[in-house]
Order: sequence, then structure tokens, then C-alpha cells
Amino acid sequence: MKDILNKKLNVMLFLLFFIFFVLSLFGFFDAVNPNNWIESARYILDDVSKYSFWTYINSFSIYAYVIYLAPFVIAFVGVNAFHKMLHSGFLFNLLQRTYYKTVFIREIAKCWLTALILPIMSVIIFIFGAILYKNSAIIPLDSNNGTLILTVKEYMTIINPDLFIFLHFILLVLFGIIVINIAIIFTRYIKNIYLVSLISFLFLIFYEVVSNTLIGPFLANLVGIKRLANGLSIYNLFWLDAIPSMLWEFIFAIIMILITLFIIYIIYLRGKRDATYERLY
Amino acid sequence: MLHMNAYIKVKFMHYVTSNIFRLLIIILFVGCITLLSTTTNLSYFNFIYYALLHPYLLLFFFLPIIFYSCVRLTEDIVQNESLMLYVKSKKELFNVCAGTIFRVVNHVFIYFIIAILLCANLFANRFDLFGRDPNYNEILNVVGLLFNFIKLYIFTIALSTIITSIVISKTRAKILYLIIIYLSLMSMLNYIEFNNIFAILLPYRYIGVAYIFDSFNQNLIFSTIYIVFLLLISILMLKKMVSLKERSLWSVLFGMIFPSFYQNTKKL
Repeated sequence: MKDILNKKLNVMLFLLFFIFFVLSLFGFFDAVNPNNWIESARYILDDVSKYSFWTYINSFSIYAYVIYLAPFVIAFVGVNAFHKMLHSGFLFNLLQRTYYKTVFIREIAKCWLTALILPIMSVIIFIFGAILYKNSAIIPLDSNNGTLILTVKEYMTIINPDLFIFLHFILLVLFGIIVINIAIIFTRYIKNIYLVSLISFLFLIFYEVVSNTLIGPFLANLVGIKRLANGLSIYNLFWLDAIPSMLWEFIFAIIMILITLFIIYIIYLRGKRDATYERLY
Repeated sequence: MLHMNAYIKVKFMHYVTSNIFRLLIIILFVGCITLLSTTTNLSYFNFIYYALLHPYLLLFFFLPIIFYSCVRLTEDIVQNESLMLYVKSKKELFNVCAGTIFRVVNHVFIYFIIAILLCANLFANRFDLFGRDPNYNEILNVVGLLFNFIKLYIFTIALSTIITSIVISKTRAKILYLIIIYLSLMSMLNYIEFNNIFAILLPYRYIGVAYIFDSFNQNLIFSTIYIVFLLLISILMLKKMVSLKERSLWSVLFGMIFPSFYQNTKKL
């Protein structure tokens, strides 16, 4: 039952992101010629490259603002089944047949499946752009009447753009896993799923404020790495805006996952034997 | 009812003096200072306008804190089964939930205004005396600011009522409501970036002076009516959703339109 619910919620979340993508598409055509969308689509068909299209949708359109509220929804959908299992007493029934650690590792891995929704949407946008626009140039485009200026991401010009999109896919998976891990940590203490998603969102925003305004500039002056404040942002794993390097983003994301996993290990698994379900509460 | 009121008061005071609420208020102040400290070119008057309508401030700090507080308190009250034994009617339960939301919004709103006034005193440009909108005179600008306060207050109550009614209701398909809220919150971000047709119907535009008509009065009246209409919908929703009985989503929505078809929904 819980799996079905989780699946349904995942589908709804995917549809929600897809609706925003469609709205962004209208906005994209609207930006060139607001009077006639079909004509504008024909007009820019030869000029726009698939990378510029992908960058526009991911950086400047309505879809780019999905990411602001994405942690709230991803946390809600990702942890829903896990929360239900933990707080409904279903775990007690499971533990009579299987081991405590096995159950937990399996359930946390199931939660991580939700982290795949955002990356899949990113790939769908790229495939859509590749079908619509055959041009694969990475030169920024400036339209004739000056209404639309499309650029590509900074690192698309440094490394292979296809490789960049693949790396972005992996970074988005890591982003989702970080958000879900934070929600799993709060699930231990809060019995309402809505409060879990709200407090995870608030925690993430608070972390962003502290890291971008206090820790980032301080470390940047101390260590000498430029753009470190952006490098310490979890949200920036989506935009990749003014980052120190791609490698840094991977290191940062993996460190964050390890930290959150360590906290999960401490609060859920450390010192718990198989029959110590009661000690959890 | 007297017993319930006393319980709610005690519960509210416990929450307000708890460490988590203090931490949330500190987060609100930190958020205000972080987002408003870079704005030093606005006059005192404009600064308050700017802060009241700052989309990131509302979206990331003000509204989540109010949602968290409302949901936590009402959830505590509704989940308390021994307390629910004293509830005689659905109307009483509605009063309890609405009263809790009202208290929380009042409390956090006062802190929010204090934070804004503090930031305005710290960061506003004292040598600049311009009103927000140069097309209108000073009196209309002051009237607009007053209505801005009132509309933000009503908007906050409406959204937190919708959120609370979703959480405490026993209906299924809650993700649909989440989508509605997601859309209404997304409108805050759309307001500054996109002025296209998709953002027109969404509510955030109407907290400020919505530039739909040429006349200031028409804009003010229309935007106020929109926000009040939102509040009425949210109250109706809470009224229908407050129940101890499990019902489907469609029966609730259908019952909102044709109440006589669902007589049994009036019972607890």
C-alpha cells in the first residue's frame, strides 16, 4: 500500500514539474514574438542551439524557479512512505520477520528514488531541445530585434557540453539525496509529515543564508579559493552559477551526503540491535 | 468551550516560550537583515513597501515560519483525543482551529513588522523622501501602504488556513492541495520576473497595488476584493474540512458547491 502511494505521489510530482516545463516553453516562444508563437518557433528554428534552449529553460524560465520550492515537495514525496512506516507501527510488524538494519537501509534506498525525478526532467528538456533544434553550436545567440539573448552555461564552453549535461544529471541526483537525507533526519523527531517537509525547507534556507553570508566569504578569504560562497550552496547544484569548478561541486555534494548519512547512522542505527525497536522511542 | 479556550491559551503560551519558536524568530530576523541589508538606496517609506512585498523574504522566511507554527499547534490540539471528547459540534472545532491560526499569525506578524522597522531604521536612506509611486500623491501612497499591511495580513491568514485545513483534514489526495499552494507560492517569484498571462490570476500580485486599471482607487478596490475573496474561500474550506470523519476529496469539493447533497457531512 505504501509503495503504491509513494509511486502515485512520484508521478504527481513529475507531472507538476512537467506542467512548469510546458509553461516555460510558451514563455520561450513568447519571448521572441508575443503575437504568434508558431511563427516565432519557425523563426528561431535555425538559430537556437539545443544547448541554448536547455540553458534558457533551466536558468531563465518559470521552470528555473521550480527549484526554489522543490526541496519542500521532494522532501514531502520522498519521505512520505518512510514516515508512515516509522510512525504507524508498521515497522514493529516488519521486525518480527527481518532485521532492523536491513529494513532501514532498504527503506532509505527507496526514499532516494524520488531524487531521480528532477534529473529525468532535465534530460527530457535536453531531448526535447535536441529534437526541435538541430543546431549544436555553443555560441551565445542574440536575436535580430534584440528581444532574446540566449547564453549557454559557463562550463559548457570549457568542457564538452554533452558531458556537462551528464554531470548536471548526476549533481541533481546528489541534490535530491541531500534534501531527502535532511528530511529523514527530521522524520525521527517529528510525527507530522507536513511539518517534516516544512522544517527541512526552513533548515535548508537557513543553511543557505549562513553558508553564503558567513562561512563562504570567511573561508574564501582564509583559503584563497575564489567563488567559494557559491560553491557552498546546495541550491547552486541546480544552477551551477559562478562555481569554483565542477570537481568542487562533486566533492561538496559528496561531503554533504556523507555528513547527513553519518547523522542518520547516529540517530537511527548506532547501538541498535535487531530487537531494540522499543528503544528507538 | 471555556475549557477549550483555556487549553488553547496554555498551549499557545507554551509554544511561544519554547526554544523552537525562539529559534524560528531568530531565523526571521536573520533573513530580514540578510535580504534587506544590501538595499540602502531607498527612502524610509519605500523601504517598508519594498520589505513588505519582498518575495524571497515572504517565501523563505515569513510564510514557512507561520505555516510551521499553525500546523504544529492545530495538529497538537486536534490529535489530542481526550480533548476532542469535549468538542460538541463541528462549529466549535472550527472556532478552535481558526482561533489558533489567528493567534499565531498575529504573533509572528508583529515580530515581522518589528524586524522590518528595525531594518528600515538601519539601512534606509534618510536623505531621500520620495514616495513609492511618483504617479500618485503622498496621501494615496500612505493609503496604499496601509492597505498593503492589511492585505498581507489577510493573505497570510488565508494561506495558513488553507494549509492547516489540508493537514488536519482526513481527506485523501492531499497532493492536489499541495499543488494549489505550490502554484500560489510560485506566483511570488513570477511577479518580479515574469509579467505574463500565467501570473495574472495568481494571488501574490494582489498584495501590492496591482497595476491592472489606470486608476489608483480601482486597483486598490479590485486587489482588496481579490484577497478578501481568497480569505472567504479559505474559511469555507476550513469549515468543510474540519471533521473527525474520513471522507473523499470529491465529496468535500462537491459538498462545498451543493451542501444539501451531503447532509451527513454536517455531523462530526
